[in-house]
Amino acid sequence: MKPATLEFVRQRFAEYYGKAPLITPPSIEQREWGFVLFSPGYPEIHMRRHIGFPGKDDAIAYIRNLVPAHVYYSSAYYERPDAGSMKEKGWCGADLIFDLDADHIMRGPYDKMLARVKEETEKLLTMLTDEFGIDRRAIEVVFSGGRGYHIHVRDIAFRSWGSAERRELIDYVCGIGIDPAAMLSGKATAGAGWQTRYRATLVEYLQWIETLPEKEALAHLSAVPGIGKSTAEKIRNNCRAIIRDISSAPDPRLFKKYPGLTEIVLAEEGEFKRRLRERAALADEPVTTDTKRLIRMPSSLHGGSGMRVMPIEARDFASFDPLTDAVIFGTRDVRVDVTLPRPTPMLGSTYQLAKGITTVPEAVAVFLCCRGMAEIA
Amino acid sequence: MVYEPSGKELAHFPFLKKANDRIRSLPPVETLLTEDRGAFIKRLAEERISQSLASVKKINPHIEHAPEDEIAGYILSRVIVSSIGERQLLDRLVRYEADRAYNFLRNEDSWNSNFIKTESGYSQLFLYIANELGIPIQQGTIPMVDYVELVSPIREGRFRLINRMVTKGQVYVGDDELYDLLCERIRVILRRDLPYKNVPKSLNKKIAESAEQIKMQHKEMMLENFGAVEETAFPPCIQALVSAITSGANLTHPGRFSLTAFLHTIGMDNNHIAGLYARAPDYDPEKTMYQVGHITGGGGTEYTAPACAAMKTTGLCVRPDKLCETINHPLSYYRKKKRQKKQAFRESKP
Repeated sequence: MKPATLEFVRQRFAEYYGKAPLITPPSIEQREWGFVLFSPGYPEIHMRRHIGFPGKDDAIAYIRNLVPAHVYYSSAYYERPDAGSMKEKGWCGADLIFDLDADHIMRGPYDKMLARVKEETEKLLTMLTDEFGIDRRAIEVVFSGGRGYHIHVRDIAFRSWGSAERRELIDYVCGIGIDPAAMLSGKATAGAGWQTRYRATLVEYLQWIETLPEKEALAHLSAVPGIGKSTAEKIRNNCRAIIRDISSAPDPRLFKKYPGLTEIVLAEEGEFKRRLRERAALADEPVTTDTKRLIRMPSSLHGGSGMRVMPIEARDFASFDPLTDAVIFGTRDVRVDVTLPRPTPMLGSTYQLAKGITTVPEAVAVFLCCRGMAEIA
Repeated sequence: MVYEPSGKELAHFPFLKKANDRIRSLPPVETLLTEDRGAFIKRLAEERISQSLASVKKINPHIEHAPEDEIAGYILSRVIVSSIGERQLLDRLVRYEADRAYNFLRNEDSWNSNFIKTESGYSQLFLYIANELGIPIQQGTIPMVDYVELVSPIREGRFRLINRMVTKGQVYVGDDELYDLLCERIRVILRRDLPYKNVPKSLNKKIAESAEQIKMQHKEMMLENFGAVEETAFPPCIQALVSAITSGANLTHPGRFSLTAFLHTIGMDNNHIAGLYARAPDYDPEKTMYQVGHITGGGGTEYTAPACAAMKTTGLCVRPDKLCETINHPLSYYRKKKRQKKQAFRESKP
């Protein structure tokens, strides 16, 4: 980033921090903070961490004064958050965090990625409330300012949990460690949860097999590792019966009764697993199991996009559009030199930019400069 | 809860809080050990540990000693294994205690004259213990938060949250499974405070003889289980690691770890293990000895060889054979294979 560009971005951030209402976390005196500053050489990341504040005003004054590119605080609560080592800090607990990052889910244009990760977030929220029974009011949903969403759960019940307990939840959410026999145990009228999702996926898969022309169906089935030609034929001819059994009389013994079924559900990278994965919420596992993680401060700015790390009210989530709602800079014209021309969707338009000097609204200029796609001309 | 467990019940479940109250009337342990009664209690403690090491365990629900002696014997057994400090002994003892408790609860009607089945389908004693151990039970479900805390130390797949019916913050648990969960909970709780730290030296001295005897028995058990190192009985994964080293290849970190921990557990000494690594191209004698020493307990923690699941995760599970299908730990493979070989040898003799 050229010095002029750095200065432009820093000034915009200073403008924002000068007047924007900042939201600090509860129990601020127990949190560790970390900052990345717009120092020369930025965006080379150099984080200042192990910082603690006695209260809200101190934190806000620090941020206004230093105008950081990135602001983080710990999901953990410490006795001495500013101590230099984890051992000295004295861990007392941590919020439960889920991180949904489009980078881990798909590649593609920015707006498509954001739309997809929002779907994953919706699935996750449903699991948290309907299945885990977590009160929606204890859940804070935040647009990360980058490519995804953060979920903060501050229910005290989870606070003292170590990684092993958190792993149970993240595995559940991501659909990791499913035991096929357990999925077909229990009554036909099972409630919500993975049993329902699993059975529905299996039925949906078999229905799909039924719709395929015979040749194609057999080719697909015999491509599953461990399934030969005659088993493939049996599966195809039995689709109806299998669907009926799964729906009306689920039983782990069905895997014995219908040879090939086990191979279908266990095939890594197979069609069934792909469909099942669609019903999971693909959150980033290490973030949830790490009890000492730093997380972006809601209401701060993301130095890699210039967008606001945006807390979203439950009732607003469905209609939330990050490319409008998390954009905080204005529309005055700014001349930029585009170095990486990519279609840039923002504020309801898509900017088709060519390489070279052009004029764009300030908000788009900040975005392009932060992402390293343009310099100030 | 108003239920007061009887002396007999406490003798069966000596880890309950009320059991501690029961032995308040006994003299301090060090005094006690100098008396005849103390010698008897010591024998009970030794018997407990000894049973925990036996391959076939006898769990007899008809306890004839005074509850105080039984409870004191339970505590003393924990002090003795703490003074030895060997992880396997600690694990074995708590596993045995948990199995005992499970067995007593399962067959409660056979020994407990106070046995009363409540509406929930569980006995009042069962509910009392569950409550003390923090397992809230209501209509076949456990609140999700409690459930997760309960199962997170358990490895078994069927107890993973994802394999459960979970709805509105409640996890469904079958009646029989609750016994398993309670047993597991007992194991975790009893293991959590072991080894006891700060056992006074003077007390350590008084139990030194028992400790020695237990150590001997443990050693014998290990020998019986594993005996002389027999490379031809290694599972394919371990064989692959050994041949990788001896052919001069470098092992990954998990590879080194798994191999070292495996060889250590089956009784190979550290020098011998380190010698194996001498062929590796990046061989550094000092570093190797340090690493081997660390994995085998030099750093205070003695690591056990990883199970098959972990070997699969780290990509070390290779060429599994027929026997592999019947086991889930490389050590079980080794034990089985050795037994098979011994048998084949015997049968081949005229």
